[in-house]
Amino acid sequence: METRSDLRTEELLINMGPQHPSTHGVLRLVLTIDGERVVQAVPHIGYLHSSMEKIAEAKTYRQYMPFADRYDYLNAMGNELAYVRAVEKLCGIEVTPRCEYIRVIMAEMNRIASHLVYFGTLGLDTGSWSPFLYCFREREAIIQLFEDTSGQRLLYHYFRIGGLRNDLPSHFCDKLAEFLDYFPARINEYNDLLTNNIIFQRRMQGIGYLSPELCRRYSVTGPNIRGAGIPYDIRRVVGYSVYPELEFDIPTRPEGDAYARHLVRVEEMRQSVRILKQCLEKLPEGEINVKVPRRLKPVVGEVYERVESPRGELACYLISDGSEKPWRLHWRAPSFYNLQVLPELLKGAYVADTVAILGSIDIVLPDVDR
Amino acid sequence: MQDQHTSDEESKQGGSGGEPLPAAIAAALGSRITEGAVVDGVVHITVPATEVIEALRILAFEMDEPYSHLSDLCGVDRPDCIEVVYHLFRPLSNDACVVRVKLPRTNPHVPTATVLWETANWAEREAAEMYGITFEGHPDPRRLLLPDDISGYPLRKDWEYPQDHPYLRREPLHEEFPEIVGRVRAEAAPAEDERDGNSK
Repeated sequence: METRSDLRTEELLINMGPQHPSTHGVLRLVLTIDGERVVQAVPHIGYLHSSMEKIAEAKTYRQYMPFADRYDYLNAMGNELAYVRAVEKLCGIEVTPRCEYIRVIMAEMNRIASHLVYFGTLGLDTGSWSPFLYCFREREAIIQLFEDTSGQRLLYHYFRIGGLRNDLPSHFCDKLAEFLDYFPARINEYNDLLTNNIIFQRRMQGIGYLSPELCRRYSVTGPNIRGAGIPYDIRRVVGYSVYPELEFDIPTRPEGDAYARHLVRVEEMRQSVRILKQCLEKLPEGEINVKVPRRLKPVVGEVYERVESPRGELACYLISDGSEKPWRLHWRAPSFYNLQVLPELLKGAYVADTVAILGSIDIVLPDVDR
Repeated sequence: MQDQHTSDEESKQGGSGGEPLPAAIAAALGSRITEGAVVDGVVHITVPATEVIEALRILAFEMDEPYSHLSDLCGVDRPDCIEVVYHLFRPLSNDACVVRVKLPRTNPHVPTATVLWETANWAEREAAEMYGITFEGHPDPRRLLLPDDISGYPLRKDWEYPQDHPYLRREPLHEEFPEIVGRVRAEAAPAEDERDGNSK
């Protein structure tokens, strides 16, 4: 570490992580602190690097499907959506309306589940245990529906190129409608526990300030940029799948601090409920799969397919050389770019706020490392 | 919308299929573009390595409707060259501009884009370790994801798994632990026969 000549007090180097419960995985932060303040933070990543992009070049387009689940494990359905949309665009496959609706239902349910994990773990990071347990109770209801549909609880492998593995089980719509009825009241409950708690508010307000200019320089996306007042949401900007047919608001907050990002995520859960209700109403009958050739050989070309993951702009960059395997696959992982801004947010912050600021960015480490 | 004059100019520059470039981009970048085309509404341009930062700066800051959101930066190993691909978007819009730089396979050099976006910092570190690209002027040219002792550039097509690296050991398990695997197999073998016998 470099030494500085203008030191006032002795600076201390603290190594936080990789095995730290508040780093949401294996992130290592090397903090230089001056008293209680962070002078410099250097994130070290790569502990979970799993060569997702190299693996893609050795697999066929179909064989890679399960890998798409496995890097941002809290948003497995959303990752699958990005990947199948990229492959389908490359091959010129158009899926059925029912399939599109089911995909959006799955992606939005996953968004709620992911935000619930965020909500709970942020509570843990700031010293409140109970919200975590309540959030996981509601998440369990969603996971149960995923399990009934796909047979899996975390890594679903439910989407297929040109369709889905199977149609929804018969009880799915009723169960989901029931969940959507009671869930908004549960959000109020969580807010009473955490969001409206004065201790939590004092803790979160005014820390980790993210300005719109910082968002541009670091390409911050997702609820983080919306917490800085910019209504940037790929669902609206690109209008992929059936999102243009659905009514929803893009919640933003002008403050740009950790609490604003928190409020945006809470409001997003309500908007997801709104989207899901409309999807259930509009869900068309019909086929879920279209015919796709057994040997999938896209034309030579490339696509850059963006979707809105719970963490921000998720894109799958896929290059085809006309063979059965992708020539190159690159994930534009939202956590990777959002984490990069962390040293800026930590400058001058209290050491105790480090975990709260990190929690408010909401990263998933396998998504960072891929 | 298309200015006839510039689109003529663009076809002289040798677009690689698709529609000609939008007039605003062709006018702003002029002769910096070596290849350019619009495919499915996405602007693709190729610029020389020496001009790339200037081209990105013009696209991101000087145009009337600037492409100021650097969505992604990554390397690609093409059969004839190493590419660096910059995905730019207009803010709050789906208008995309893909900027590429073609580099030689031996000792590829390109100036860093961190002077325009800090976004490029980690993305360039990743591309550097995966493809062996040197980003000149990068503020922090360390490895990012890979272990320090790995040799070569893993995402290049000609990279081979180092057989001796402990993280990448590819010997089957039974060669490493012959006694254990032998014992487990010996225990499992009769049980399997029994099961077969019962099912018949």
